[in-house]
Amino acid sequence: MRVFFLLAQKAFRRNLQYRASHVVTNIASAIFGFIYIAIWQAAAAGTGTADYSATVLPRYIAFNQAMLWITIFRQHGLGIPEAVATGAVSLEMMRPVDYHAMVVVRELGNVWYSFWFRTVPLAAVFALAVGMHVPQRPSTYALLPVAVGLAAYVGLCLHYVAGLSAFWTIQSRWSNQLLQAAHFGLSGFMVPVDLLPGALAPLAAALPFAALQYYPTRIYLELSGAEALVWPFVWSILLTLLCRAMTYAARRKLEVQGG
Amino acid sequence: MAALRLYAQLVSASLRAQMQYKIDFIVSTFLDAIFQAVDFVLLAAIMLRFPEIAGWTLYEIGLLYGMSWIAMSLYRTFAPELHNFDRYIVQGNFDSLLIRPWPTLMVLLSRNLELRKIGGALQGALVFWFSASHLLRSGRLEWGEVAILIGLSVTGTLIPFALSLATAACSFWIVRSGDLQTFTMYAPITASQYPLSVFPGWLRALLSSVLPVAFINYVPVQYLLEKGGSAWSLVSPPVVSALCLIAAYSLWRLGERRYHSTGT
Repeated sequence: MRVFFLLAQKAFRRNLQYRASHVVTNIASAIFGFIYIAIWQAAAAGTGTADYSATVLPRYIAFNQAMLWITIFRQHGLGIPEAVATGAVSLEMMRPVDYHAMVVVRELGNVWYSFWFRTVPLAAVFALAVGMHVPQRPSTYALLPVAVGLAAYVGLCLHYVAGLSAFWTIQSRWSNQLLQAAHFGLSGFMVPVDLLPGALAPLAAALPFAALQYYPTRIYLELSGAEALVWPFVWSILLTLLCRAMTYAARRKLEVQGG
Repeated sequence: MAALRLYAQLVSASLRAQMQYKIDFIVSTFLDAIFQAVDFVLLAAIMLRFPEIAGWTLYEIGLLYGMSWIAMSLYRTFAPELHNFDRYIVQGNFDSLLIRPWPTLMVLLSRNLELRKIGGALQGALVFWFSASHLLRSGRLEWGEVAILIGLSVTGTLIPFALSLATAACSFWIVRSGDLQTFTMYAPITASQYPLSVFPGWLRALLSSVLPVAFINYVPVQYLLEKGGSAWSLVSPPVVSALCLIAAYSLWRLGERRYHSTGT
C-alpha cells in the first residue's frame, strides 16, 4: 500500500514545480468558462427550462468548467502510449507492482493536484462572477464528494482504456480523440444531457461520459438525489473490469520494440 | 515567382509524403469530421431549446458558425507548422530554416500541409449554405449579399493566420507559446461562433480590437442582417485582415532578427 501512496505523492509534488505555468492555463480555462457562461446566459435569458432557470444554467456551466480539470484534462492516455512507443512499458510491467493500479494511482496524484490548484481556484473565480449555489439539503454534502470521486475515477478508467489501446494500434491519438469527442458531446459539460435532442438524451444519460460531468453537477445543484449515483456507480464497476481484462490481454500482447 | 514555384514543389512533396500513410489520413479525417459534427449538434441542441440567442435565430448564427469554421480550417490547412511553431525554438530546429536562401516563413508554410483540415472548411460551408439558403428564401438576404459573405470568409482566414503568426513570433522571446494559443486562437475562435453581443463588454472590446475575430464574421453579418453597423462594416473586414497580417509579419521579422539558437 505504501508504494501506491508514494507514487501518488511524487506525482503531486512534480506538479508543484510547474505552478507558475499552470496559472496561465488556469486563466485561459477561466476565459473559456466565461465564453460558455455568456452564451447560456443569453440563451436562457428570462425563460430557461423547468430544471434550468436563467440563474441555474450559468452555475451549471461554471461547475462543469471547474470539473473538467479532474475528469477529462488528463495527460494523453495516462502516459501509456508514450511508454509503449519508447519500450519503457516493458520495464514498468516487470515491476512487482500491479501495472493497472500503478498507472491509476500515479495519475491520482495528478488529479489531487488538479483539484486543489485548478478546480478550486476556477470554481472560486466563477462563483464571484455568477454566484455560487450553496446546497441546502444536508444529504448533498454526503453525495457530492462521492459523485465527484466517481467522476474522477470513471475519467481515469476511460483514459486508461484509451491509453492501453496503444498496445494494439500504433496511432493511440485516435482513441484519445474519440474519447475527447465523446466527452465533448455526451458528458453534458456544455449542454445538460437532458436538454439534448430526441433519443440522444436517454442514450447519453446511460453512457459513462455523463458520470464525468452531468451527474455530479445535478447532485451539486440539487436537481437530483442519490439516484444520480446509479449510473456512475455501475460504470465504475464495468470499466474497472474492462481495465483489468485489457491489462491482462496487454501483458500477453507486449512486444518490445527492438533497437 | 521563383519562390512561388518552389513553394508549389515543396507542398506537393509534402503531400506525397503524407499519402504514404493512407489509413492514418482517412481515420484522422473521419475523426475531425466527428468532432466538428458534435460541435454543431451542441449548438443545434441549445437552439432547439431556446430559439433565439440575443435576438439571433439558428439560421443567423449558422452564418457566423460557418464563416468562423471556414476561416479557421483554411488557416489550419495551410499553416500547420505555424500552429505548432514553438518546438522549432525549443529544439533549435529553426536554424535549419535560417540556412536556406528563402524567407523562413515560406519554407515553414510549405511543410506538412494538413489537407484533411480542409474537411472543416467543407463542413463549415455546408452549415453556411444551410443557413444562407433559408435566409434567402425568407428574403432576409440577397444573392449578392451571400456572395459578399463567401468572399469575406476566405479573406477572413487571414485573421486567424495573423493571430497565429504573431503568437508564433512570441516564441522568439518567450520560447514556449503553446499555452498562449488558448488565449490568442482557441478562445477567440470559439467565441466567434456566436454573436458578439452575448459577451460582456470587456470581452467584446477584446474580440474587436487586439484579437479581432469579430471581423471574420460578426461585423459583416450583423450589418447584412440589419442588426446594426454601417456600410463600412463590409469594407473593414478585409482592411483589418490586411493590417493584422502586416503587423504580425513585422513582429515575426523583429523576432527572427532576435533569434539565437539553443545550445547543445
